[in-house]
Amino acid sequence: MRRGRIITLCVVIAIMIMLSMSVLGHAALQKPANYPKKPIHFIVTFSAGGGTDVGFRILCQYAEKIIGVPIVVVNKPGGGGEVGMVELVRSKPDGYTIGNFNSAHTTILALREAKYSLDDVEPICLAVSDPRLFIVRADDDRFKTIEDFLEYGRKHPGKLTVGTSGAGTTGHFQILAVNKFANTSLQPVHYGGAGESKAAFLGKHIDAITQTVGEILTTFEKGQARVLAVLADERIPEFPDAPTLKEKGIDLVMASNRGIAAPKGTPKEIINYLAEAFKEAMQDPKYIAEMQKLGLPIKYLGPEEFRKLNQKEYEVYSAIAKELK
Amino acid sequence: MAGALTWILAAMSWQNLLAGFLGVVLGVIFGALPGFTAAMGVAVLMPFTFGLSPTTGLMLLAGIFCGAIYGGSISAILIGTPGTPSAAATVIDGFEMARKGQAADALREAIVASYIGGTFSAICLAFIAPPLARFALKFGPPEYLLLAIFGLTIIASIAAKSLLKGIIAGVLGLILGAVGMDPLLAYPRWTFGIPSLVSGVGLVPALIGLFSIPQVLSMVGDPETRIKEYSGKVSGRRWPTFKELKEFSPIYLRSSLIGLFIGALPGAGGSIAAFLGYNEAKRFSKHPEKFGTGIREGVAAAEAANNAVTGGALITMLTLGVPGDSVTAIMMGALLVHGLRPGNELFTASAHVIYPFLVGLIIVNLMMLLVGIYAAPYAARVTKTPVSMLAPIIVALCVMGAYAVNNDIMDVWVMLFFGVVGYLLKCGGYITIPIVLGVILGPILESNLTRLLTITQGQNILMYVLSRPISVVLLLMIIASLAWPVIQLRSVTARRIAEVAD
Repeated sequence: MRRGRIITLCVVIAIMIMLSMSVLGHAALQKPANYPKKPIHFIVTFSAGGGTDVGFRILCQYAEKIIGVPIVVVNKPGGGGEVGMVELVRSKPDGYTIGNFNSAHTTILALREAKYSLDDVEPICLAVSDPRLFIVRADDDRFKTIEDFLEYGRKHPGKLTVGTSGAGTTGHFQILAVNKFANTSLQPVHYGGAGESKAAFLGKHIDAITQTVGEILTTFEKGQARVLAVLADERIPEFPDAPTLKEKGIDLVMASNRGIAAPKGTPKEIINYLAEAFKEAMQDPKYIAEMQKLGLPIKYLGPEEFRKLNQKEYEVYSAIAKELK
Repeated sequence: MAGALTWILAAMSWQNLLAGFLGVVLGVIFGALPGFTAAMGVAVLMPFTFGLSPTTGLMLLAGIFCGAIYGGSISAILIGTPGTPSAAATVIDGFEMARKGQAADALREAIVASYIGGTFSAICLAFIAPPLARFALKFGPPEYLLLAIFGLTIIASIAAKSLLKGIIAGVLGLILGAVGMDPLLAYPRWTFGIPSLVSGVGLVPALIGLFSIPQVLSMVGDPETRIKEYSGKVSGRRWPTFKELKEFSPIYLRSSLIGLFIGALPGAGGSIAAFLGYNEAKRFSKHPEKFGTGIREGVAAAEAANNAVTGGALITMLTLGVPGDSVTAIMMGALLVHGLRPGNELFTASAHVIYPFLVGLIIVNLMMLLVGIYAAPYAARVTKTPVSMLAPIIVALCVMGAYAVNNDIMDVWVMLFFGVVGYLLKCGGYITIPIVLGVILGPILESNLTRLLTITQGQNILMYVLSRPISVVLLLMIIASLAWPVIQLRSVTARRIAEVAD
C-alpha cells in the first residue's frame, strides 16, 4: 500500500516536472492551441526568382523547422504586387495563409486606387529592410559629394537624370521626396527594373541611379560607381564613407522594406506566435550568412512596430503622391 | 593551354554532365509545354543548386535555359502554338511544314539551328564577352526606340499580301500592348479595375490565345486545315546532310549574330531576336515569297536566333552584373548564393568556376542536340493523333499553361480573349503575327520614347538622335527595310515583264 502511494507520488511529481519543463522550454514560443495542424501557404506577390521571392523562400525553409509544418510558397505576381495582396487579404484569416508585404504595397496605395487597404492587412513582422541610395559613376567629376549633386540639380532643373526601377516604385518616390525636402529638381527616368536602369547608368545614358544596397552591392563593380548618400538612420557598414541624408540636414529615411502579413482578423495569438517563430528563424547563423551573400539586409520588427512603420511610410508616400497628381 | 585542359576536364565531371543532361531534358519539356517558360523552370530548380557546386548548379540552370528555348519550337511546329514566347516566329514556317506532312523535317531543322545558334553564342561568350557587353551598354533610349520601330517594319514584309490589314493588326497589337500602367506616372490605363491588368497584358497568355485557339477552332471546323500525317521515313534521315548545312550556313550565321547581340541587350529578348532573324533571312533569300508557306529556312532562321540569345544574355549578366531577362536574373541569384560576384573578377579570381562553366555550356548545347535529334521522330507522332483527341488536349494545355504563368485565373481570360480576337481576325483574312509584334514591341517603344523625351528635355531631339552613330545606322536600316519590299516588287515585276517579252 505504502509502496503504491510512493510510486503514485513519484509518477505525479515526474509528470509535473515534465509538464513544467515543457512549458518553460517553450516560454518564448507559445504555440496556440490546435495550430498549426496543416501546411501554411505563403503568398509571394512577385515572380519566382526575384529578390522578394528568393529572400522569403530561404526564410521559410528555416521557419518551417521551428513551426513544424511545411510552408508552401505560392507566387501570385502581377499589378506591381496588387494581385497577390488582394488574394492575401481575401483569404480565410485562420493563420494558414500569410504573405509578403513590401514597401511596394504601400506605394500602390499612395499612388492609385487599389482593391485592398492598409486596414485589410494584419502585419506579422518585418524581415528585410534595404536602405535606398544615391549612386553616381566613379569618374563623374561633377559630383564629389551629395551637396554637389543636389546643388547641380537646383541649378539645372530637370537636367540631372536619375534612373529608377520603374514609375511608381520606391526609387521614384525617393527622387520626388528629395526634390521636395532638399528643394532640388532631379529628373527621374524610369526603367523596367533594377537591371535595366543599371545598364543605362553604366552606359552613361543617365547621370545617376537610385537603388538599394541589395541591388547595387551584389553587382558593385569595383571602381565603377560611388555611393553619394544613404537614406538610412545611420551609416551602413557596406558603404562606411557614404553619409546619411540626415547628417546633411535632410530628414528623410527610405528603404525597400519587406515584411510578412496575414489577412485582417487572423487571431492575435497566431500572429504573435508566427512573429516569434520568424524572429527565431532570422537568428539562425546559416540564414544570416545566406542573406548576406545575396546582399539582403535583415531587420526584424514585431507586429506592432511593423504596423507603425507601414503607417508612417504610407503618410510620407501619400504626401508626395498628392503633389504628383 | 594547361589551364584550358583543366577547365575542360573540370567541366566533364560526372556531376556536371548529369546536371547538364537533366537540365536539358527538363528544359525541353518545360519549353514544349505552352505556358511553362524557361524562367519558371530555372526559378523552380534554383534552390536545389544551393547544395551543388557552383559549376554543377550553373550547368543545371543553363541546361534548362537552352533546352527550354529549343523546346518552345516543338509545340510551335506540331500544334502551331509557341511553347515559349521565343518560338513565336518559328510558328510561321514550322507549323506550315507540319501541315504539309513534314513535321519531322521541321523538328530536325529546329534542333540543328538551335544547336548552332546556342553553340555560336557560347563560344562568343568565352572569347568576346567584355567588348560585346561594352557595345551593348551603348544602347540608350533612342537606340532601343529605333530598334523597336525596326522590329515593327517586319510587318511590312510579313503582311506583303495586304499591307493595310497588316497595319490594322499591328496597331491593334500596339493598343493591347498599352494596357497597364503608363511608364511615366504609373497611371493604370484600360485596366477596367482589374488588378491583374495593371501590369499589362501577359505576353505568354496572349501568345497562347492568339496562336492556339484559332488553330483549334479551324482544325475542328474545317477538315481541310487538318495537319497531315508525317509522311517521310521516320528512321531514314535523323541527321542533316552536309549539303544542307552548307546551304543554310549564311542563315545560321546571320541569325546567330542577331540573336547573340539582341540577347546581350537588357530587356529585348528571344522573341524579338527570332523575328529579326526570320525577317533578315527572308530579305536576303533568293525566294522570299516562299517564306511563310512552310520552308526549312524559316524555321532555321528563327531557331538559330532565339538560341543564340542564351549566350548573349549570359554575357551581360556575367560581365556587368546586369541580367538581360528573367532567366539570367535568377541565375545571377544562384551565383550570389555561392559567393560569386558578377564582373571582371568572375573571369579572373573565379576562373576555376566560370571557365569550366563556359566549356559546360558548349557541352550542354551538344546534349540538347542529341536529345532533340533522338526525340524528334517520336515528337512528330503528335501529328498522327486524331483531331478529335488532339483538339481538346491542346485547349486543356492552353488553359493550364495560361494559368500556370502567374497562378492567376485572369490570365486564362486574357488567353481566351486573344483567342477569340485571333479567330475573328483570321476569319477576316488578317494574319496574327503583326499583333504579336505590336504586343511585344509596343511597351519597349513607348517606355523608350518617354525616356528619350525626359532625357532630352529642351534639346532638339532630332539633333540628339543624329549625333549618335548607332542611332543613325538604325535609322538607315529602318528606311532600307521600308523601301526594300517596294524595290523587290519592282525587280520581280521587271523580271516578269522581261520573261513575258522573251
